[in-house]
Amino acid sequence: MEKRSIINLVKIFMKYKQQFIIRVFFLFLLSIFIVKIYPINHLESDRIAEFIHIGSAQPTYSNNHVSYPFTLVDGYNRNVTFKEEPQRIISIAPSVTEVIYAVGADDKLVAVDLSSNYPNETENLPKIANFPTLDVEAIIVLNPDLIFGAGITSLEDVEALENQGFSVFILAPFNVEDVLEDIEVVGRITNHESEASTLKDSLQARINTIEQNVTKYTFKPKIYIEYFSEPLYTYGKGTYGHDLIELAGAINMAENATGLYPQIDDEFVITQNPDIIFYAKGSWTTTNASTISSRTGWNIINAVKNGHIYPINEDWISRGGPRIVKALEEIHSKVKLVTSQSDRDRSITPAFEWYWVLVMIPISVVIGIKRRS
Amino acid sequence: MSSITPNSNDTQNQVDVYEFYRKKKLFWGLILTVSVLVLVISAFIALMFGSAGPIGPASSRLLTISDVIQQIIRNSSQFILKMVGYPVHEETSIQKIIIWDIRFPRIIMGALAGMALAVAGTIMQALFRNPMADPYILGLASGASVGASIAIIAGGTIGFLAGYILPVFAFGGSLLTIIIVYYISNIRGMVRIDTLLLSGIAVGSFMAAITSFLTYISGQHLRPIIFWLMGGLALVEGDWESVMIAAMIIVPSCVICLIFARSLNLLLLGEETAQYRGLDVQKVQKILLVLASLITGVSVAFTGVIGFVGLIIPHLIRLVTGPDHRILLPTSSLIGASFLIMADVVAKTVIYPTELPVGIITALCGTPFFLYLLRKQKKIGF
Repeated sequence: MEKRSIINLVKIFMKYKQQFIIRVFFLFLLSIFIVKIYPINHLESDRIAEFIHIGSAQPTYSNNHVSYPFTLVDGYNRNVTFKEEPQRIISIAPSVTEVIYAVGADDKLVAVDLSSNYPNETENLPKIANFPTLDVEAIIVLNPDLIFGAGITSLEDVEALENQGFSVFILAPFNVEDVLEDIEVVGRITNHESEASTLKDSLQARINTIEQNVTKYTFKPKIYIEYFSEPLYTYGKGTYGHDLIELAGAINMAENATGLYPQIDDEFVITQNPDIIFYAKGSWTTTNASTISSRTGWNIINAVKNGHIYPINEDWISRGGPRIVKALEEIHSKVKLVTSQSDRDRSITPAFEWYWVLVMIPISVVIGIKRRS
Repeated sequence: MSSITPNSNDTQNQVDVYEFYRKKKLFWGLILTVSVLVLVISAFIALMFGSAGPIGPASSRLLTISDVIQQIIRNSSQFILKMVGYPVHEETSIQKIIIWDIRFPRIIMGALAGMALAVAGTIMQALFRNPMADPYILGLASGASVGASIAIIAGGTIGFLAGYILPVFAFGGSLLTIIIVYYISNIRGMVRIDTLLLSGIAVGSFMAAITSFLTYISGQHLRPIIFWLMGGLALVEGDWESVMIAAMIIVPSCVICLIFARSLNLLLLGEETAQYRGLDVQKVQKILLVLASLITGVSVAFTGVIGFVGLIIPHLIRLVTGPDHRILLPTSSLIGASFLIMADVVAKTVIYPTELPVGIITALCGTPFFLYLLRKQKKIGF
């Protein structure tokens, strides 16, 4: 008898088969709607990272003169000879574009790649596709006398460009020190040596200030930088994110994880108990401090308890350009804040009561079925 | 089944038949008991693994085994009390959060997804009478991937859907695909199963092309899209709501599928034979297709495209139980659930603290074991 009745039920569903699937979908939506509308937590308004121009190198045609020709070794261990000052430069990496602008060689720049979005002046330049394959044809049309690439440029692309007779120079910095050296290299190649060394010195001075401060701190806070939220990705060893944390006198929570951008789980973050949480802020991210602190179980993490959740511009920490020092200062300022604070306990807020879902979903189902009949 | 009459002349033969059914029932009971035990034990083992201990590669041992057992008992009893309406004082300790709020949802979602995929795979293999059939044969995975990729690339939130953008888009994508496939193969109210198969593969390829395009242009979003395409349970961690939504749909659907086990047995004989035996083939096929697609769609929406469970678990169980769906369906649902739970434990621990997509593990561990059994048995009863 029982089997009959269930088959009858299915028969009723099949009678309305076109609507059935759509109904189920809307019930699905409805239940999510009900679930989501209940817990309304407003903890902290979102902070938006501000872009601050760095380096502000004036395009003054100063009295410095680099003596050409000379030969330099690039990031791929290739010897590149520069016979004279390059007049038509193409950058095929966003980090190098930033360096070129910072040393004031942007008047020689004829094109940049699609991902170059800083500074705003890049909008006026022609764009070259560099992902997933480099648009060599567009480069041939523009006829540059020097192409700057970075570690993301593959060796095959470099060879393809060389076969066309172009001179290619690759900047592949591995850490912050390398970035500073590359600024000088770009300055030398583009005949803006004095601007470059001024910029490098000022950046170095800012790093040195931080390094001096770091020695005074009594403890090293743990930091978690969230690269993506669904699922959780963080910055592992070998990325600038990891280097910056160490330079700022802190510990990267994921220093033992395998991979450059390891995927981790909630339990790992809770167990590691970071003191500061940064979340990468890019044009595509929707994470903010309140979404992080409202995650289940995260309320017992020190950073969440004490409200140390901050945005950090994704471009600052992922590009080997001058703005990386900006990222370092941002991280360091929070490390300073945490190490100086002593109030490290707050009462634990109760977790979200989810059990009422059990009550609401059958009700929504009943409403859905009633509407049908 | 003829009744046993002791006065019959052919007593010896009938005792044999009786003996046969008694042994079969005993065998089925044994298999089901073992499967339930395997599921319970694997869930219990999975509860022990994690960053906070007590077992696992992590150096920190925040929890002890007795902590875990205590939390399981306390929280499940509180859960039942709360459902009855009894007021319960809830304490918030790190043990409770890790065991009950972080690990439990993940394990239950793993069990639900494994169950759904194994049941859907068994049904699809029987409906299409094709050993290559899996839950995604009608292009559901490709459709869901298109939805998920769009959600990941667009990246925004739509008011009340906050936090559910990905499952809703993925479910919408698979729903759209199944509707297209169904209407293509629906000719004057008749759905032919081979037309369905072909249109499913065609629409699936079309959707896969869109996914490839989206992946190709995704840039910054490549990593999350690839994670989603390989499937993982990390998204439901600490998310009881998703688990409840999935359970509300998957568990009743699987129970209804079980009722159709005899019909599936008949369908194995061929559509015509089944029709002559008094089965409303068209109706049963439609009901089963809708149910299988529904549970697959829901599991894909929350966990991404987990491969191989729906293909290999039904075959694996068929090697042990034979092709009778009355035992095949419940056993493969239980073993599918335990398999996915254990695969997730491996995915979590193998290169700790980095997590692997669980789809890699299911294929990597499942395939060699299946091939071993295939070679050992030398016969695959389909």
